[in-house]
Amino acid sequence: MEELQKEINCVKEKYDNNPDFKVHRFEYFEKKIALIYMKSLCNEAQIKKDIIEPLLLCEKQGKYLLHLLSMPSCQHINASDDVEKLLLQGNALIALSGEIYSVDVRKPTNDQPLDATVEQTVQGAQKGLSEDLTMNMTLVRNRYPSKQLKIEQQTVGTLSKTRIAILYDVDYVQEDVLDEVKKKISGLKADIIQAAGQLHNYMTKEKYRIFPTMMITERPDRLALNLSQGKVVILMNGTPFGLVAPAVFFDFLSSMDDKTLPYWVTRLLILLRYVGLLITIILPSLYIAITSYNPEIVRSQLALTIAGSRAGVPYPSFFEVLFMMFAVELLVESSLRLPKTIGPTATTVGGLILGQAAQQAQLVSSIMIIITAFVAISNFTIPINAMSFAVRCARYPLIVFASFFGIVGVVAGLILLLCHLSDLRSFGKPYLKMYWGTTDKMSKVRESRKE
Amino acid sequence: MKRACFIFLLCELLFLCTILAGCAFRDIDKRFFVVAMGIDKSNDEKRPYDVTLKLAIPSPEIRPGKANFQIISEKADSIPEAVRVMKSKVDKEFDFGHCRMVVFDEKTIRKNQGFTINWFLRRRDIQGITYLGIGKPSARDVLKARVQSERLPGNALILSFDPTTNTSPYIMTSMLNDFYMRVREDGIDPYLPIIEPIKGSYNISKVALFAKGTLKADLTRDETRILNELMSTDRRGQINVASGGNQLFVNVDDLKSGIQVMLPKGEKPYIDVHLDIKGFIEGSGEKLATDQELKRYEKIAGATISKRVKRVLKTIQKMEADPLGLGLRYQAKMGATEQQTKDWERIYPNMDIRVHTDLKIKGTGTMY
Repeated sequence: MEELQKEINCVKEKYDNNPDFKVHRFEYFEKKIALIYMKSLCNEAQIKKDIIEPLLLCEKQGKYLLHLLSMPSCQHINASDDVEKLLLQGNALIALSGEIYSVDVRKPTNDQPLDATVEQTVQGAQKGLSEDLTMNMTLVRNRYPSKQLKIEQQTVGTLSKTRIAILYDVDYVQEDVLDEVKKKISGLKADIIQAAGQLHNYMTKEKYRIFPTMMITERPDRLALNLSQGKVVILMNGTPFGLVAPAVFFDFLSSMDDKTLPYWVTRLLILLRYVGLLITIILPSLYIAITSYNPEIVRSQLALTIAGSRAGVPYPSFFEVLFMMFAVELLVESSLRLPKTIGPTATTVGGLILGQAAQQAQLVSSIMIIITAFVAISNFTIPINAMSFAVRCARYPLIVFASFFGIVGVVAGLILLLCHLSDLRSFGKPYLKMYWGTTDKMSKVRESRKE
Repeated sequence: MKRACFIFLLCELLFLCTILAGCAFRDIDKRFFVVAMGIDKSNDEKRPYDVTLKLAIPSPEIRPGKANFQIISEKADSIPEAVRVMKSKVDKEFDFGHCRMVVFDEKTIRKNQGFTINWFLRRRDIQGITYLGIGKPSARDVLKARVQSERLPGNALILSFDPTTNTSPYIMTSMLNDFYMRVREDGIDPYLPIIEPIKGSYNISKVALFAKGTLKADLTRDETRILNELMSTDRRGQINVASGGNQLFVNVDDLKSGIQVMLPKGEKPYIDVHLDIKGFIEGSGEKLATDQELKRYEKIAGATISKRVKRVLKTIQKMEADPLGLGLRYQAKMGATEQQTKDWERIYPNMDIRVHTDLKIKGTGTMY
């Protein structure tokens, strides 16, 4: 016990200057009692209710100890426990007659489920995850009340000590994926990890990465669904997003609405998204290829219209495309950063000026305006934001290829993109794997659990 | 350091790209689209080819009758030479990618068609589906004509020859690939539609037939139509079957023609034509009330059609032209050696022609 006492003294010295470090001493049972906690991390009302009040009611020390140990979060501290860590995790330490007990009295932060704003659905659940890990686990458990659901907790980040939880269905989970996830998390070398995307970045080997290989979602219903598909879910304290591994390319184009709408409506919407994906990737480069290298592949009517509308434009087509793409990216980026109240102003001004005036000033052709709008709108049809950003990046290499080699360049660029995608692995699973745990499999209730 | 260098180089490259576009990179507005070409025979002995190009001047606004174009022409000893010389007359590079119409005058195409169209076949940017035609009085006059409804230069002719936009049975469509096949192949002869500019439009209703490598003669309008129908194109219209005093018009819904070369043993070979026509009555001078009347008319009209078709085939036979490819059918039966080709040339002018028409009138049209 001397060791422990020494450690507490040590901690006390370390934190004595901090205003939120509190050592509360009083006497009861004719003994000295000390209550040590971090004020900023702990819920003082709970301390009062769970620790102080029972003390006053108990006439004997033994009864009080019984009460303390009967609390689920209370534990008797052995010398080996890291006192400092416990304090910083929001535990209150009670030093009583040479023994030390710790009680979890952590103050919850932002534990209300937030509205799903990033990944909205029309008819699905409207609430997303919260910023509190415990609450998030509650949300997932509620949606996946299976005895097979296993939760493992640990911390990442040498400084931030962010608590994360790994969730999986013991029966469905693919062991190789789970092993790899655990291996990668234990091998993390980072000081501060505060967001799901950041964890994703640290967990992937490749430094220069465009496409996300883990699904980032804020929807508990998607998490529950993915658990049933045998995927591994990682939740993190302090962020309303969860990570899912493995994720294939086609998952990123599925929306939770696909489950709530009728069959043919869903098919149409899925088709729409894939067409949108194709348009947003190749349309700008196709414009360059057609106007500057192979005008014969379009109908003569269209060729002459394009030629007519480009007649006054002084710069080559790829400059025109880059200029407009740049403008749209600026517009998207600015409306992202602006406060919600000013946002519409920026888009209106930007849209009007860029669209109308740039064409009237003969900086770009009117066809280009249509293409720009098309590309921007179809980019927004991709349901998962991470993929939407990735696709935005992926079209620029194609533009470069098209400006140098025309249609051949576009085709070659697409083949390269395909090669890259098929080369990608998400935790050992091929990235372009078709229909891995998408609608077909989900809608079936499986008789035998393990396949 | 190395990294910074690389980024700097990349930035520099991108910047240079924007200001130095290079000469291989030619934007669509820096190209002159040749929408139609005309080849005339000039009076100059040394420079027999008079090549005319119709160049589209694109405008952002497209309205009917406002198709702007520019006509330039040049005489030279060959078509490629003429095109090369003409490049010096314009400010932009020619682009033949949208040249869908080539018009010849009668004198150029009369002989040596294979040689004349050689250039068009070898150029990779001239499409195989380019339409060919004969311009009267000259190819240049056809190109010069301004069509009132035309929204884009040269488009009116292309639309006329496209069977999906114009189903007139008087217009025969001849494409470059098909024409070349007919020129090269024994047993089938090429044909070209004749285009005559009229005020504000074109008149395309006749066809010129070739035989043994030379231009023979034109068919009249009605003969053209019947030939067109025999060739089983999708172009169909009304057939006027005058029977007795009654003018009966049948709107053709479906027309199938089966042509066979029959070579019975010990008998004179003959051409067997079987026409299967289904249609509605579109106009009749007399009242048509009962099925019997319809049946009677079917028979009379069928006979009339057979007679007409036979007459047209006789005319074509007399020219020794073979646009229907009867020689190929003969080869299919007898073999394709030189001997057979010679035999066919001997047999063809004397063959009998038997035409049988099955006319099925499906109804009398909508009557109120």
